[in-house]
Amino acid sequence: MSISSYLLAAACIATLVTMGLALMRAGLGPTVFDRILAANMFGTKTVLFIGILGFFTERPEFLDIALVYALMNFISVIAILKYADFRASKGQVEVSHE
Amino acid sequence: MSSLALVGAVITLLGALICLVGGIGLLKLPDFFARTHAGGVTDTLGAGLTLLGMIVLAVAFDGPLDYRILVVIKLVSIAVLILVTSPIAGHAVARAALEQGVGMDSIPLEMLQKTRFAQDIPRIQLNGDADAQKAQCAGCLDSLNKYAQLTSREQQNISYLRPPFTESQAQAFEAEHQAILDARHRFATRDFLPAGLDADAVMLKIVIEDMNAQLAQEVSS
Repeated sequence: MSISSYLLAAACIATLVTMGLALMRAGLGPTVFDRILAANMFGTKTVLFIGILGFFTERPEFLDIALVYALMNFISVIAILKYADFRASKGQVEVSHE
Repeated sequence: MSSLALVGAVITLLGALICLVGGIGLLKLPDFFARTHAGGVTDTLGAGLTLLGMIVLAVAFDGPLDYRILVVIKLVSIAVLILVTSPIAGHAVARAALEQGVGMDSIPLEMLQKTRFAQDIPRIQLNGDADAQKAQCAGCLDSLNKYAQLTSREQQNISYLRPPFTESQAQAFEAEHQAILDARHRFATRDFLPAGLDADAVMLKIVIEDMNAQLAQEVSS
């Protein structure tokens, strides 16, 4: 294995660790907006992880999947934000505890 | 591998490490809005650098030229997408949280009274204690129950009165509540038409007028 393969493997591991940290924040976050922020970050890191993995295994065809997932992540974050905002406006969701 | 591939791998690793810093900041920062900063800033910078490193790697890749150009085009489009949508999503989250009054308990009281969250100060002071909030004013429990039974459309219509947490809000809500019940009754009994008209006849007339207009349009064309 060459040096650049080792470096790409380190980048893979760093991105995976970041995804784990985002999941921890999604579990911990006292407000619902913390969790939405963490989910957005998780999606972005997934896109990067797919890209790095494609280059690590020398198959850059994975970038198609990354492109599609980048779009889906954005749309889903906006959709769940509207839902959370709607429920919080109804007063049913205590924002600081949910 | 060539040195260009090494440079690309180093840039990619740098981008991934910046993303890691952002993830650590997401965990350790104390306030919600600070976390949006950690998430948003390091997300765009880390993603940009990572994708730039991958572009350099793709250029250093040994393969046919058009294949490499395709890979570079895909990477550029992913980069543009992430750099455009990630700040938008972060802004939307922060703005929604501001509208809901997140993190208002770390702002001094006299500053808060000058903003539009002044009416939420009782709720913010009791932040986190739902029972204390609800029991804060005597007449509030009834108003809260009535508020919870309104439909979402009606709640949005009186959204200037949040779920009533203070005496004044409860009194204002009672006045509005009777008006809402009257409106519901009038809609159910089809009382919204001018006197003397029949609802079904009015709707039938509208349908017939629509059909005549469509027929005239078809005849003339």
